[in-house]
Amino acid sequence: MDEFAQKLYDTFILDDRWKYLTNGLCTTLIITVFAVMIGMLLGFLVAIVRATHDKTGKLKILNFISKIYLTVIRGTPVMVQLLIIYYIIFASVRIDKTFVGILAFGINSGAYVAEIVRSGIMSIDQGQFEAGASLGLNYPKTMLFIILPQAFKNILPALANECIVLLKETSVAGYIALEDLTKGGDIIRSVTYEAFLPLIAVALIYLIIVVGLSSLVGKLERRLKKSDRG
Amino acid sequence: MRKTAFVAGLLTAVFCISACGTSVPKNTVNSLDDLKGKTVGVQLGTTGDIFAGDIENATIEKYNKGADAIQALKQAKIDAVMIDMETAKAFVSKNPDLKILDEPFAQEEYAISYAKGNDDLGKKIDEALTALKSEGVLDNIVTHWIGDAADHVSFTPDSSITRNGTITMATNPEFPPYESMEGGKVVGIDVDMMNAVCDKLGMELKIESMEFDSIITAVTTGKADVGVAGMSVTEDRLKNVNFTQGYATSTQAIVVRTS
Amino acid sequence: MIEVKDLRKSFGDLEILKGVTINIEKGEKVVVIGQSGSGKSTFLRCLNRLEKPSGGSIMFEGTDLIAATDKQLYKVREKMGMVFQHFNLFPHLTIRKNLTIAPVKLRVMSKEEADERAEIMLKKVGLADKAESYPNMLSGGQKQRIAIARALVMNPDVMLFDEPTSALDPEMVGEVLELMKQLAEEGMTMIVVTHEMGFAKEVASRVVFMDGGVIAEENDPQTFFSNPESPRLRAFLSKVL
Repeated sequence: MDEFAQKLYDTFILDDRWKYLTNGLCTTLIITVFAVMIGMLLGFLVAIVRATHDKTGKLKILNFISKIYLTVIRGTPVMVQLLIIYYIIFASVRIDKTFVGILAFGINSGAYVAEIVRSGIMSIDQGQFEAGASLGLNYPKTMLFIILPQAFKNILPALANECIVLLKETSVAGYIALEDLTKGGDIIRSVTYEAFLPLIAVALIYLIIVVGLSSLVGKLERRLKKSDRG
Repeated sequence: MRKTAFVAGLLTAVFCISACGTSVPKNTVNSLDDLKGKTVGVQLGTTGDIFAGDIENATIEKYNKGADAIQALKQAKIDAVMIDMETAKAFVSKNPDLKILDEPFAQEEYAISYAKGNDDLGKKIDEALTALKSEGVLDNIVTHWIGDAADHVSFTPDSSITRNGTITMATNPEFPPYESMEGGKVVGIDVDMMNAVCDKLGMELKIESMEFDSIITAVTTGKADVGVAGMSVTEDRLKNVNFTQGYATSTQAIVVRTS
Repeated sequence: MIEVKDLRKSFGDLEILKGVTINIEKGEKVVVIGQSGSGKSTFLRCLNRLEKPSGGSIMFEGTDLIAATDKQLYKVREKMGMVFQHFNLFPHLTIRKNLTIAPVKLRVMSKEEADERAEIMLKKVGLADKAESYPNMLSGGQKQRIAIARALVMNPDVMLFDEPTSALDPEMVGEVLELMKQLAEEGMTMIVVTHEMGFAKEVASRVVFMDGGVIAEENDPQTFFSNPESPRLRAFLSKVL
């Protein structure tokens, strides 16, 4: 028991090592929140381009670019994308690594959000587009006021899940020496040479956040169902 | 046609963005004192990591691999890298735009780590090391890897020995000349030395590659019998593992851009 | 008001409309009947360009709808109300918002004006108490009456009805037809694709029989039903009457 207490002390208390975890958590949350924003923005834009092309045959060039973006991003691991952005796109530039992380994970998430949103748009009955058009609403207005609000409601749970996935994926940020939550645990591990406590602590923190978010998503879903019933 | 033109434009734009950064900022570090307030790259869990922690106001970036820290230094993302001398020399010899600062650091000793309570094995390896040193085998191995005559020829294990049991060695093959990957195999001083040790003990050598900061954990949890990775003996490490006698000495080095 | 000349529409190799020519004057109530697949719905959807014709011409109040730019087209659609078989109400909006979203977003009315006009239209269709309800709280008949009100809010010059009662339970057909009759009596120009022969007889100023992608026969309802000329129409009427 004494030995365990000593390990607890060495892992978290000595030299304020717990700060590696709290600071890491902060970095992880900052990256996740801003990456989600970039991802949503990018995802919605790409999805609208793709859906518009599917429905009307317009925006050929934008659709082509979007397709390349989706193929490349979904066809390569996020860690490789992160390294490419850090060492190739921003080669020889001193750049804030948190920003690099946000950018990499945002661009990555955008591709997944785009496909979620597109499926949401495509799931809306064609009659809704026609009803909008018959009232004189043009395509962008119909999309914005009629289609997207309905699609958004349908895909909200999937979008929330994407946020949760993103939060966990940011754990590879340590590869560009970003001190996120996972890296925080690794740093403690590298000074105490003791794996159990730091890893379990890191896992627990992720778990608590994810479970918390999931229960929020669950609540949201139930509320949406209620409003569906009227 | 328009499509192709657009894609071509896009690619050009990307290259322009990357090209913008080709003017690397000037080196500003010429001594240990200059490191105050600078950004220093280290490999997570190494002696350099510990040393760098003592520099005033410096930002320490802890990379998983020494090579990543060197890459970041070349791209001026950081101001200096603190790493073991022989490894620093290996990196600098391949990168003419980098140099090692002439700063004296305390000597450290590399030794082989083994789990506490595994003293039988520790003692046997220790004895083998003593023998290898007195027979000149160890010096011979080192000359193949360090110095002007280094030919990178690996030690050849004696095939006539009957071997009983294996020694699993945890290492991080990103640390030339002690260990690195060549032709898909882990090679270097540590590997040759352990092969020689195994010859003495009549045992088989098995190599497990991993991140540097995982090696001691691998030894304490029994995933590996020994940790051999150009690892210096430190107070903190001694709390968790035992070390054999030292087999090499090293110092820390500060690597910076030449201009 | 609407002049259609040699209107053609193909879906791939399949030619649905093979040259439809018709003139519709202001105040007319044209009822279009015919078997499924005769092209009557496609004809109606071509009139407000929900379908893009493959050939021919459509003039609406002096605008050439084939050559029209997208912008002109949307302007024209404000003047052509359309009622769909499946209502196509906006499920995420209240009934009031369903009625006001188009005029407000198109800036043809202020929010207050639109609300006021929605109020009047809801009263007209007898559903003033449903303003704050959502579409899925209404019966099929009520939904279609709301859909008609939604089209009327835009103050259209002509109303297009695409089988407005086909998706309704029988007991709800009456309330919708009653409302359409009322509209007709108020002088609205109407083009109605339907299977309701009673409505055609009672309300239509002209009945059009479409067959095989062309207008096979058209006449005033009296003559149309009592004295059909072509054997195809006679066969069709004997089946539906």
